[in-house]
Amino acid sequence: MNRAVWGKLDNATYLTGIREGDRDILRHIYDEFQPNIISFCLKKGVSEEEAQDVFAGALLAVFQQAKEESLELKVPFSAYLFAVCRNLLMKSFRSKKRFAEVTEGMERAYSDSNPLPDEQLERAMLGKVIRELFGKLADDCQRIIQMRWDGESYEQIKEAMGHGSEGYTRKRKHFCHKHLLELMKKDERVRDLYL
Amino acid sequence: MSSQEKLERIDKFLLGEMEQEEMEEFQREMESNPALASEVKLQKVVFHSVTDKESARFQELLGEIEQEREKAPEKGAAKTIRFAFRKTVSIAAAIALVVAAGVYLFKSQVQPARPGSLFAAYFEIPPIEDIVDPALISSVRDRGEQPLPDSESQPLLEVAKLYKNKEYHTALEKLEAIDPGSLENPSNYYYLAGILCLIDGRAEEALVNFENVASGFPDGRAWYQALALIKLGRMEEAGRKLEQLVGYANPWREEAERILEGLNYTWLQ
Repeated sequence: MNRAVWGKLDNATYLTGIREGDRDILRHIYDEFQPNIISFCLKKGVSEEEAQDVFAGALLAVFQQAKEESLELKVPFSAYLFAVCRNLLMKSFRSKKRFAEVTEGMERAYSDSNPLPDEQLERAMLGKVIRELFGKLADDCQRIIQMRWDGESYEQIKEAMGHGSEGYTRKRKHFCHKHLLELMKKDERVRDLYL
Repeated sequence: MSSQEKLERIDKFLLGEMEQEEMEEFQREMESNPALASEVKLQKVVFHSVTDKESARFQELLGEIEQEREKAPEKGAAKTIRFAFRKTVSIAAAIALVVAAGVYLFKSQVQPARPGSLFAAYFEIPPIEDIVDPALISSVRDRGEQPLPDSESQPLLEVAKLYKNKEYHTALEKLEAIDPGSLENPSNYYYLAGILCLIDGRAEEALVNFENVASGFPDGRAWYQALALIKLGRMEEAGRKLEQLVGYANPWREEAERILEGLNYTWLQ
């Protein structure tokens, strides 16, 4: 790819950049599109933090879609990204039953265009939040859960962690797992999206 | 069954570690116990979120970029711009590029969150020659400070002079003292009034003035109407005005496209 001139990139360059996690392309996407999308979200009454969440969640959804299958856009990437953000925002409003914020125009646009299915948007956003909460766990908690869910046995985890017994490893894993679930229950975003 | 046993069992199910018979029994249990089915569904979401390492890496990358931008937004923008420089360009092209980069950088930095910022990023005060009838301006140039024989044009000429001296507020006050009905072609008056109102931050009044422009300035009128609407946060109406400009060659076509693509894409759907 010729990166000598940024200017307007084509759809394929954006999608490849996202799929491959190209830092330069992603920076460019932030520079080029985030301000207007944040501005749009703010106008709909959400906080700046929520707006940033929506933008990152949309990029994650696009990443997952681009990774899973060949994604061919029929509109400019900018329009596609905006539509994903808008639908994510709509979904958040619907979850929160903040129908007052859903304007007629948004409602129409939401039903007319559906760049990514609801389920995929929800999965991307929920996954993002869960990973954030997972990152708040103690280091050993993260490691134990990760190892177990990567398929390692409690015996292997006990050895790796230097625990005295497998029983303790099981207890610790359960404590950590429960702690993650509690963090999720307390998180408003998870409640809106799932619970 | 304790909470620990239940979660360990769900882990085994999700990891595919159950024997065939155990799995079938578990599935039967889920069918008859909605609470268990719901619990498994939730654990599945958590499990896939935590084990999706590609998404986790991507998310981490986004987090790093966001942190970079928080710490040094200018540096981030400047780095992007740096790519824009090509060794092969001529000096003239390089100068143009530097100017373009400056404009881009300016827009990257100030465009953002609010319609007012977007307006500020795109609104440039046009030269008086682009607003007032060129014939009138050339008369001024030819005649220096001498008054024109046409007394009707005289007040407008004074406004033009103030405008040229960047005394915009005074120019607007002078202009408002003129009765547009007394002018042969009031469109000049209204167009100039619209621009001066925009400069003065009076976007609503600017719109009223632009509406009264009956002839001339078709492109400029649509462009400045769009900017006034942006300033007022009326984005959908602004989009419709901008759409008028993207369909044919005019001085604001590219900027209109840029705003449309970046700002509100509803019309592109």
